[in-house]
Amino acid sequence: MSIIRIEKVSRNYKTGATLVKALKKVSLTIEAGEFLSIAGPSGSGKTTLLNLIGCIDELDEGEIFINDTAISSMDKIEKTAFRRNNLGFIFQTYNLIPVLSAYENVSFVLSLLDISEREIKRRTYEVLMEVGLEGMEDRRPSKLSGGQQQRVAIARALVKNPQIILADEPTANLDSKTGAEILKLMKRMNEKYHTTFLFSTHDQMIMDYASRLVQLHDGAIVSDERRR
Amino acid sequence: MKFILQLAVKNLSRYKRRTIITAVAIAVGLMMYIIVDSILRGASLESMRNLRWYETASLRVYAEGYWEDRAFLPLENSIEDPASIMSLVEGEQGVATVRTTFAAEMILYSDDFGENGNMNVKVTAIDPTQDFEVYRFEDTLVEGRFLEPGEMDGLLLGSWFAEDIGAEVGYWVTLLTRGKGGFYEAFDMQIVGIVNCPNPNVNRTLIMMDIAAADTYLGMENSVTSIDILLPEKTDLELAKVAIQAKLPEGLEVFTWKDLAQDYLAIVGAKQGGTGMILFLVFIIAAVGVSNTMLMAMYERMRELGMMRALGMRDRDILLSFLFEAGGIGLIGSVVGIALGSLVNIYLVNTGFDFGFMFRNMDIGFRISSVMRGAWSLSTILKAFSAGIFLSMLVAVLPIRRALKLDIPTCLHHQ
Amino acid sequence: MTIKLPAVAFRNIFRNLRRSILCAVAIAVSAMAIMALLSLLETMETDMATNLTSYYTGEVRIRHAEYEKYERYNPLHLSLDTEAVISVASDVGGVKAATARINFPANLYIDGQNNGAMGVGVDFATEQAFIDFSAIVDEGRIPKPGANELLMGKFLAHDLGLSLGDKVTMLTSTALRGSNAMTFTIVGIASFPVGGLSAKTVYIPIDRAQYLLRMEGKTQEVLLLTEDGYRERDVAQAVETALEEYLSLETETRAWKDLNMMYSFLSIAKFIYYVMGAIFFVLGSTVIINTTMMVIYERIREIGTLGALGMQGKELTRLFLLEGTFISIAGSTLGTLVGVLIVFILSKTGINFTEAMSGVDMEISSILFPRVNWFTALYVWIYAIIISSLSTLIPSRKASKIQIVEALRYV
Repeated sequence: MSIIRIEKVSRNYKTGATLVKALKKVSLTIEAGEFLSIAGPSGSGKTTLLNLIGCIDELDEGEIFINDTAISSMDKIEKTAFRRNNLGFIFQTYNLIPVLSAYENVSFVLSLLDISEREIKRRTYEVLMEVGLEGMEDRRPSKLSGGQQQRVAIARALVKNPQIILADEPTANLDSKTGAEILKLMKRMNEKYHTTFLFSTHDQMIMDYASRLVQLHDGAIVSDERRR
Repeated sequence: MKFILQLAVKNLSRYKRRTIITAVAIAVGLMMYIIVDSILRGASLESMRNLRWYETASLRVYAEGYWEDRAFLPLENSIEDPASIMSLVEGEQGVATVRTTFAAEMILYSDDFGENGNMNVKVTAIDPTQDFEVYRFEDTLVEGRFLEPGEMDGLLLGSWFAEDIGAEVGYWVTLLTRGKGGFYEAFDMQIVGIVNCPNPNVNRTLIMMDIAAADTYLGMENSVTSIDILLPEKTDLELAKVAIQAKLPEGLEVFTWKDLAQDYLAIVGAKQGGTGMILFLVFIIAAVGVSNTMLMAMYERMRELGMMRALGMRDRDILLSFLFEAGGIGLIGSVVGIALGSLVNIYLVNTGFDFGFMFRNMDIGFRISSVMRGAWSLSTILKAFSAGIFLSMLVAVLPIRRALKLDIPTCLHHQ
Repeated sequence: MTIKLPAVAFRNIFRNLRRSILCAVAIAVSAMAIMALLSLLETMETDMATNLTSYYTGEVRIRHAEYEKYERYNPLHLSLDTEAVISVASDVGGVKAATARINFPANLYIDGQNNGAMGVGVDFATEQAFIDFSAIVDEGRIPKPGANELLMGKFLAHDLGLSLGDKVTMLTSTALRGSNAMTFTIVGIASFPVGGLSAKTVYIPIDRAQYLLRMEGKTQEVLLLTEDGYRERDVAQAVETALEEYLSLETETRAWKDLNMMYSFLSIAKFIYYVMGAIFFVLGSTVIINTTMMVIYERIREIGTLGALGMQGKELTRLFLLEGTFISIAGSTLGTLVGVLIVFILSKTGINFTEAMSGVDMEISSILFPRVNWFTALYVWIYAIIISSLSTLIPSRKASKIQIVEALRYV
């Protein structure tokens, strides 16, 4: 069953007087459990596409179906709830809250859901261990390296067992060794939990890891390769 | 909810310096508010007390027509049968006394005063026994003795008045006036006592004599110019005024101390208005400070804001978190402001400022003769406390809502 | 041509216009408040000075040496020889005008009742230099010398139910300690700026006053106006000396500032308001301090870059200081101008103090017309700029201490 169906989606932006067509009638189908990379040069529309799937942007034409639900049919509150329950995000700049510890940064997304305090604690410790940060739960981001911070971010994305995780250039701020480790981690999570991973990136390493590579250029898909 | 509160608290420590500076602005504003309020309140309390004890009592009965011409102290509009009125009034839990006030020219002689002189004065004729039930001159004697009932030529002076004219116990003066009916009367009086009255307006002008004597000299035929009434402190004076007015025969009017002390009330009003404005401006500046701090915090955390929204945190919860933060700054400011204000207030209430040198020669409306003290007010402190917090929260609302209106990707990619 | 630091600073302000505006507004509010306050105080001071010197004490007042001691007694017999004193005093350098006055408590006998009032015997001709009677006379005219005519204060006339043409008998004690009475016709009704005067005073020609009070050729006080450029105290001193020398007369001759306590009270009030002004500015400055700190944080990468390119330390401090100064100037200018505007509007409408003054015995007019004083505006303007700019000093200096390499690492 396709978890995500993108049908003839267009997105335009107005910068001053010019109209920029970020996406031009893009269509794509994604199955559950895929480890997919959307690649392309800057301005190709990959971040836009990710944002649309993530329900944090509005489309101008076409429709995106997630679990057969059209996202345009959801109002703001429903979208927020949708993200809360079903989506995980990983950002290039980690975006952790600096005044919270690693534990708190992860657990807070769970506290947005209706879960008991005990359950939150269990799952948070579990996922932090999974990402290899056992023992560092009480550290604040300022006391963690870039790689460690990104692990916290991954933990945060994973801890609510989302169907889909959207990652926008997750390794861009990391050195290649750390980046590789992070990728391996995400691949492991993908295999273990069958979470669908969508990357927007122009990092060759990610593209190599991906089981499917979609290339965008000037707002249109130019290639769609499945490997392994 | 708990998490939101925790987040807000933790975020406060993010920019300690900024928070402190903003909190200081709030603290200073609140401190000024508490201090100024305390001074005005203290001055008010003392003035009202001195008015009540020495100048106006609670209510006063005048004959019809007296009030309009009261500046000229008309003896013609006097109360004819004071005794019957007194019994009517006493039923209302009050105590009453009769008084006759008249204008006169006082003539001084060089034998006593060193120089001949004359001046326009106001003389208050009292019932020496009953007057102490209504007014508190009983504790104020500093030289000589009080008047005796029926004493024909005894005068009591306020100490500042005596000082100003260089009068001493034993000196003689002549009072020259027109009696009721218009005929001239001159009578010689001797100063038998001096009272030091805390009410400066009274102390500066007080001349008292016996009312029976005044009745004789002025041909009052048992009438008096006013009946002064003291009621228990917490009495609703407006109600009492109406009640008493209803009982009185025609031709008499009742006035409360507020009618009698309009000059005092005017001053208080003006002062409050002036300080209110100043405090308002201080609050505006503090408000700008908080707003600015929150704005800056927001712009700094734009990406974080986008992240929280992307992760599904409700706008309402995000707003609450920032509001609590703003409230937190306000709370710190409030606590510090109240603490400082209270510290200063301890000094103000217990020691106060001795402005005697100023009050001695100037009439500024307040009935204070020497030390100006502050007064505690729990309601003011509470008001200041909540104002600090709520104002901060109020001021933060707009910038935060503005940010939440932006779309998420813009927040995420903010620089 | 390389761009200069001030120009860069200026442009930087527009980077985040909203923030800059917020800062400027905070300072503007403070400046405006101070401007309004100081203007009001100044106006009260000037007004009081005018009232005192016109209606009460002149700029220098000459009285009998013993008069003050027995002032309360109304010792009319402690008087001065009018002609002699005026002639000697007028000859002293710095004396512009002289007039004689007699103040005496009077009783107006109406319908069998005595009504207290304050009588003033004046020479309406020489008084012109002191009191512009034509401006304050509402109805009728000024009494003529030698005539039993009087000028009455408006409120007094109203309270007594009198109008032009009515006759009123004045009773008073004389300088010989006897009594005398005279009947006058009301020929004029005047509105004095000081409410108290309108409520209590009656002006009669001085020769009639002298006759009434049995003070032929004498006066209670002689008031002087001094020329511009002369200090009143100096003139007073000179006159006192001259009177002693030429007339062997000991007098109490004093400048007006030494005579009135209310005036010194106003100076104390001014000082308090200056202190409050400082507090206001400090408060307003907290906003700009915060903002400067924020600005530095935000541009930390830029600071690193600039540092790497060779700009550091003092220059960097200067840059931020300049930005702060420009915002201060904008805010201060705006605030001062708005303050001036407020004063200007009030100068047309006037501030009505009649209510508040009703019970208070102050020599301030019931309606005040503040005047725009550009010196005060300038003072406030500069004061605001200096204090606000200085507040940016500390955060600016911090900027200069940031390590380049640390700064460049920031995103």
